[in-house]
Amino acid sequence: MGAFIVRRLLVTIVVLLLVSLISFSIMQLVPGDPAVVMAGLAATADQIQAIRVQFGLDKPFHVQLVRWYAGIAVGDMGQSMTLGRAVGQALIERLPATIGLALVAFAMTIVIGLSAGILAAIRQNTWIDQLIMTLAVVGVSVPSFWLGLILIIVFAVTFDLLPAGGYVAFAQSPRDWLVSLLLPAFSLALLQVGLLARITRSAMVETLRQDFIRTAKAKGLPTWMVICKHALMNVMVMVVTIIGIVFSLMLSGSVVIETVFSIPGLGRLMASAILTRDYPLIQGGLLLTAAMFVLINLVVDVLYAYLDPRIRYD
Amino acid sequence: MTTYRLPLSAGLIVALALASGAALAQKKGGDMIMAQPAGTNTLDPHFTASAAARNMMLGMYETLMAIDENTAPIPHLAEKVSVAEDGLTYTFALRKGVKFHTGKEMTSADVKASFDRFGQLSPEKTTMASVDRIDTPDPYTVVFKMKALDTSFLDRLASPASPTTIIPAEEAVKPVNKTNNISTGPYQFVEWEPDTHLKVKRFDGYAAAPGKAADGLGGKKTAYFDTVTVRIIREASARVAALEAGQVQYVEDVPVLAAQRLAGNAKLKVVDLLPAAQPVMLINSVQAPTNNAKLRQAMQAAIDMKEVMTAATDGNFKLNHSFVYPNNPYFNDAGKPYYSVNDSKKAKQLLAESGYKGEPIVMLTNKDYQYMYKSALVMSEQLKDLGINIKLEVLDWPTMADLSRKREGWNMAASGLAIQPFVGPYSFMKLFWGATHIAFADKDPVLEEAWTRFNKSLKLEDRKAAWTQIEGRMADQAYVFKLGDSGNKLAMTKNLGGFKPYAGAVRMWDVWFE
Amino acid sequence: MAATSTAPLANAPWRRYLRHPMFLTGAILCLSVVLLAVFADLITTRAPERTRVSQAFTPPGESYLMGADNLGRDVWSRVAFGSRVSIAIGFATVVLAGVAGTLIGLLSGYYRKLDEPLMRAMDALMSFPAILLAVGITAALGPSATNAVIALAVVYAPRTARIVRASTLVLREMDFVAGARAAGATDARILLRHLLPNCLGPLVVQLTFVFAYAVLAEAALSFLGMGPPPPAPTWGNIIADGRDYLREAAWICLFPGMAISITVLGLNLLGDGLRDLLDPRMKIQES
Repeated sequence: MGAFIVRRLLVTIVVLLLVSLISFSIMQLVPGDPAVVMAGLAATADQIQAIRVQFGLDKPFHVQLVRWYAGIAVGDMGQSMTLGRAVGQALIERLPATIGLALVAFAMTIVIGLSAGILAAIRQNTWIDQLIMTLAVVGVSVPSFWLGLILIIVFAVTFDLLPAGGYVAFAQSPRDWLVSLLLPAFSLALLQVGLLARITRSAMVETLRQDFIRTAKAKGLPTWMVICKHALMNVMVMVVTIIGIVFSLMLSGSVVIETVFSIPGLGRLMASAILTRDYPLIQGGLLLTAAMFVLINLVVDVLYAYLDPRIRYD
Repeated sequence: MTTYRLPLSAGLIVALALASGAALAQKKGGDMIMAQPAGTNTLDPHFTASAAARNMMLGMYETLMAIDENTAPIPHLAEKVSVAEDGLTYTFALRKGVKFHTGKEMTSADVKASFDRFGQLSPEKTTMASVDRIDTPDPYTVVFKMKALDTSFLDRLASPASPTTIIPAEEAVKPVNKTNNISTGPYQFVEWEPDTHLKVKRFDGYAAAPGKAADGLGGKKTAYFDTVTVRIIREASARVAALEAGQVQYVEDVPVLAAQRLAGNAKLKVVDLLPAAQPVMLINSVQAPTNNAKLRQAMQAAIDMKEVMTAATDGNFKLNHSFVYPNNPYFNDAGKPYYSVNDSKKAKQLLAESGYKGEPIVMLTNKDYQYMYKSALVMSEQLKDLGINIKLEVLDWPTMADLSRKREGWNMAASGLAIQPFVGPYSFMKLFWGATHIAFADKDPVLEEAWTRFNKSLKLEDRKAAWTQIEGRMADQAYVFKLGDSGNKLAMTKNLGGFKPYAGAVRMWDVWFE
Repeated sequence: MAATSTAPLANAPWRRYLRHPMFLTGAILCLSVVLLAVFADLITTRAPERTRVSQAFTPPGESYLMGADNLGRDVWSRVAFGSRVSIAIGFATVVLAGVAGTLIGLLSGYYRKLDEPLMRAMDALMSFPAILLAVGITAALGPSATNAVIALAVVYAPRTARIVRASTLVLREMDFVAGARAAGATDARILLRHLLPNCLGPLVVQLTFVFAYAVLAEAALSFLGMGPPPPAPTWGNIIADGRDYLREAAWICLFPGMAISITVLGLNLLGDGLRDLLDPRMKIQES
């Protein structure tokens, strides 16, 4: 177990180093001189030179790279071009809205995805199963930003039930916070709901076939109890392993969803950073989200190994 | 000697008494939240050049001169200004007891330091080019000695385009973006997050100018709100939704269709600001094939501005050939014969004379400003009908603005003027010939001569004649296509009292919650 | 997963495919979109960029099948021509991500020494949220169709590499590989002649899904203004243009969104069907 964790940690460190290298490379991809692109509007030669110096673009590549890693080591991801603030600070400020959105979306994913998947598995090969699986594949095919717009038309415009956009901080009013997140969270969740329903169904079908379930059933336990006590635990363990992926998909989707619903989160910050060519912010945002994904996966893996000793430590 | 004084005549005193009676209904208090589509990346008091920034800054920042309701310059932090007969000396008597947000009293040393900084840093530092030196004989007197006659000088000191903000001398030594946002305005700085909001609060030590009420950006300004927050909400639908949900009390740039809906809402009112801006199509007259005047004229003759403006503004516009608004004293008809001609026969004839062979013409536009995007889409289709080989390139605004300043790489660029048509011709100086000129032509002797005459003439009639000649020449040579005047739909809660639309900026003083 | 049960695509009896409802539905949907793209010129009456302001906001009906947008452009024509962009970008992404992913997967699965560094690099790339990485790359390179393809290929090549590597790891230990090696076959020959054909099943399934993701991701990029620049219509930028008129003219957004959904649904069904047909025991895998 200890050896597994050490090895897993080492791999994580290597991946994190690579992740930060890739994030760093974004500015190197800019054709021509990134300082000129960043300086933008009416920049004079002096201003461009000032930007070059400020962001170290006048230094050779290896010096820039060393600076980048040295900065990250102390949590410094540089200064944003447009916000007049440290990149790290700007990202952290925007994190709560995105996390809130992801949490609500995650709750929806789990509740809807799991129950739909379980229902489909129990009613395997009936019309219910087919309906759920059809809806699931439709769910993974609809672009989330378009779904968001359609939901706005239906729930905000036609029936005037929910707000068309905007965000209320949790501290301000938990109820309004939830209401403001319902539509965006659902838009964001549908893809994951579809995926989870499909995964749950196949895992459940597999589990239901196994001997211990049959034994339990033979003992005369009611079906729901068998499902809750045994099968569900198995499925839950499997769900834990895909948390990282679901999280990553949500961060991906948040770029467009936060734009559609004007939620002041990380995704919208990234979308505007991209439009304003704020490369330090883009680099920092990429690094932060990827690092979060890597660390979540590390925690998940370790937990998983701890919970399920059958796992091969390899 | 001409003297501009703060208006306080007997008639006005009567009016003042009446006005103060009405003022009983106005009470202090409330937190005002307004939403606008764009933010600013700088709050530097001398570095502002966008409408969005003006909305955010003009409650905090004040100037020696201000523009009144009709954009005429009036003294503001100065009590009066005297201009010598030869026009080479301007003497400002400062108002006494004006306090900065720090509590320190404003003196001539602060004024001089502010202008020194402006002359070094501001994008409009050319304003100071004709100033030889600034003297401060006593704490309440500032004297500008000019190198040469510059008849637009006071206009430019009053212009909010890039305000000559007065800041404390100790602030004025700081480099760009390093000052503490301190001036003398009715509201003072609280906090600013460039991409989300600016918050200001009422400045209780505010020394209002004498007068009966606010006038343009000057006059006796009263801050009623406890705080004012300017929120940046880029998406039009989200701005509207925020107003409907009561999260904000005032929004700008409401889409026309949404404004119609909001007008039916009992809690809200919609106010038209028309004209608010001028969309234009810049032409690169030094780059082939648009260096060919006949080709430019052919295109000019083919365009139907009504269609272009309808698309660009969703119908919220007025056709106007002039580069100033119709109520401006410099308004003239010199450009009218060339405007929105929509005559395909004439256009084809000019095109044949031009010898155009279908060379590609690069038209730049951007999606950051939707009206620029839409006007380019429609105009490019009209020009394609004429047989012009338009290559439309959609860039982001900073890239486009940058490229359209270069001599090469483009032929046409969709752009717009926000403040210049409002404040008047003097503000076009740098647009035509300076670092950010819109008439991208090599030297044109007719324009140069007329511009010199404009700036050296003391009589309004002579200045008008010079400006009329400039507009006529611009149109005849088709250096820039003026598209029209566009409006801005402002929507607000019905209990917002005292609100008057103003193209200079949104004013959060002399308005209150009823 | 046993390689022997993964029947090579070429030998599969086509009747089985046609009898598979999922595959069939997917194939029909995909085919319709391809036909739409190929015959866009013939089935539309107006150029997609053509503005006619007097016709702005014409609702769907006889003269405008899917209505007109705010500039009086024909939405049907824009959706039809937009399919070309989506298909072209999706296909180019599949080719690029497929070639790169296969190469990396084969090398990584076959050469033990390359495995660790290559897979850690793939892990790193896969740590980034997909759309975020794609927009990050296009933001740096500049918005264009080519750059969108490059960005999407960078995003989806690692996911493809993993699948190929997994198959290669199993296949490498098989007798026929040892046999070929004993017969003096070079590594290149073993990789391309023996291993690659046997990876094709899962690879084709994966690439079908990559196609689907690429269509979705391109739409998102275009929506954010990071796709092929206007005036060329793409499904994503039609929606972006119509967004301000959502309440009053919902059709501008409605139809391109349906086109995206139908295309992606077709590809997903095709992928699911292929997976069932090629290896019924393969699990649903998320990417």
